[in-house]
Amino acid sequence: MSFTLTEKILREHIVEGSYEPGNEIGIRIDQTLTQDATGTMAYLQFESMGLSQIATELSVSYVDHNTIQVGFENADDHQYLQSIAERYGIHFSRPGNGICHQVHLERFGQPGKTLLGSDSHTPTCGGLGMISIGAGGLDVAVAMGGGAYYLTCPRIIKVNLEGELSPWVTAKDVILKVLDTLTTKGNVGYVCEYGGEGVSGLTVPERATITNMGAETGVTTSLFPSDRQTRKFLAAQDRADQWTPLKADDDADYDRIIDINLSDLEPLAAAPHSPGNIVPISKLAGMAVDQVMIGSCTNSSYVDLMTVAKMLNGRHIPTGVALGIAPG
Amino acid sequence: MIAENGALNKMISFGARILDSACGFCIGNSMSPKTESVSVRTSNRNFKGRSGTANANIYLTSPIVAAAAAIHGEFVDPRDLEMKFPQVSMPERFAIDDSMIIAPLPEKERAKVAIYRGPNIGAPPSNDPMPQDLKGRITIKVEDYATTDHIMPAGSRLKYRSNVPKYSQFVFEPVDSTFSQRAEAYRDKGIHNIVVAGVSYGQGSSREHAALCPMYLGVKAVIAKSIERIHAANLVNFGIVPFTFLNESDYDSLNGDDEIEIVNFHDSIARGYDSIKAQDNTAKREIMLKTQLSERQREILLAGGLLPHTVQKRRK
Repeated sequence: MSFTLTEKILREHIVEGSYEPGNEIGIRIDQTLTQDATGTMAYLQFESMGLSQIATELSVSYVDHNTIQVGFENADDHQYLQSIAERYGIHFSRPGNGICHQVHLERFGQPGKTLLGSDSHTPTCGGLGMISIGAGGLDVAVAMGGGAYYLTCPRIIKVNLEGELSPWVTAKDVILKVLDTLTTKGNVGYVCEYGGEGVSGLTVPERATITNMGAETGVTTSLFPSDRQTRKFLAAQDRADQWTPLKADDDADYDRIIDINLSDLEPLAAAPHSPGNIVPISKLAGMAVDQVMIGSCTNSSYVDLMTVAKMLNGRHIPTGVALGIAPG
Repeated sequence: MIAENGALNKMISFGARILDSACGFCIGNSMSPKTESVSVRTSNRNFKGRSGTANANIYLTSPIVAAAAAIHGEFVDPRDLEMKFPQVSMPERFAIDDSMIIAPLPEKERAKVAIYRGPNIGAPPSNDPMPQDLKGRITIKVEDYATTDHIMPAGSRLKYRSNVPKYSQFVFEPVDSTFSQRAEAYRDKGIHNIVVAGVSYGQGSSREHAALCPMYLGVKAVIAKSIERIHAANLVNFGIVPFTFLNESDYDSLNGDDEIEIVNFHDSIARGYDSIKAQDNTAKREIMLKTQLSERQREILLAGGLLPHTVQKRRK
């Protein structure tokens, strides 16, 4: 038998049902994450389960959404979340520390593990070779209590990457190209698994940009293999001991294969009002821009921000343009 | 790292406004652009209005394309820039600082922690196991295509999402603002609440509150011509049985405030009957209801919802 990477990880975690695409299966969840907007209800539900502590290997509660605290409600909610974390053995990432997906990728994610998060961009950690899925608050609460997470056993799309990115072309353009191909509809129940020779040239933060925005296709999650790049990233985060190599078998079967040659890509944009409405930048050249916003869980890696800083260095913003930068 | 190596300084000197390290602009929480403007963003969603400005045009690009636009005030293909490509590599070692992450307390100290509950934090919702007989009232009858926005309005009410008793006051508000008061009064007298609906009940947002808050108000069953997939799953998760009519024409014969009784409600679900008889004691007639439930869903319903079900399973 030969397996896709998705199947290898899911089979290790399956606790109910049989592994047949389209079937309902229950999987064990190793890690959970919550953010403040969905977290309060998840923890209220967790509390009502009456457990003395969490049953996962690791759960992290992040505060990153309602940090503009107009009125008392959000500040109170943050304090509630902190006290819950202290009571039940949960890590608490304080407001200001960063966006949940970025921080989880850097500090907690681990190849081969499962992560359930109460935020739709949880698949970011797929860049590390872990199955990471966004879900509702109650599903996350149940997983924290040791319950299985139920999902439709996925069909797999292989995104086969060849070549390497040209200067000025980035991982964002890769996922925009994927969105151009898959669109934002008709992909429910699938997982995007990245492979091919082009994968080895992409760093983990670049892969995370791709898996993060993979959410916009509607797939259950997106996944990269765990390879030398993964080891390099974990070592740079002083977590080399958490690395394990993982990849799909060479002769694994896929439900659909998409080929993308990285060398052929050009800078792209998703035009209003859908992430699937892709146009080349060359066609937009000359259109006036009023505001530029840089950051978010998709694009605020060290390399992203340093590249921007080098480009802006010594220049000054034109009148009529506003630039905001939110380092994630 | 970018603060230490001077990069942050370069951004600020350029004229950039530095925001919180948070989701901020991406969720429309700050920096809404001006009317009918063009905003270039490196985030992942550009749905109409998400930026906070309904008629703004949002383009999603790489940081390089965004920086080029910030420099020139217009879209520029970065390959045409008169600038050397700014080669940056991932560092061999990131600056690591976990001081803003609070690690879990030692186990024996955890029980002493008092949970802080501000006025916006409500009591955690809970539900009892399924009763043997269902005996209640049709507290509301809604028409075809009732969405989760009809059931549980968002907008100005969404800030109460952490406070189920408060948020529950607004269940069905757009359809019948007296619903929650009437349902609560029945619940407190031990009378079950039943919702009757037309086609595609519960379409729209997947929000759990559209099942959680009715559960809090004592709704035990929904009887509809059809129920949307995600909402039906949410109803099960909160211990509310999703029924459909065997004969859709029975919808017309049911009236608001009719007294409905299902004898052996619990056992009928437990045994997996796919059609169940209900008695309309007001109209003095019988109607047949259908269920389509997996074994797992039936167990969840009997326990009163996914939470109590999970607790039960752990204790076994």
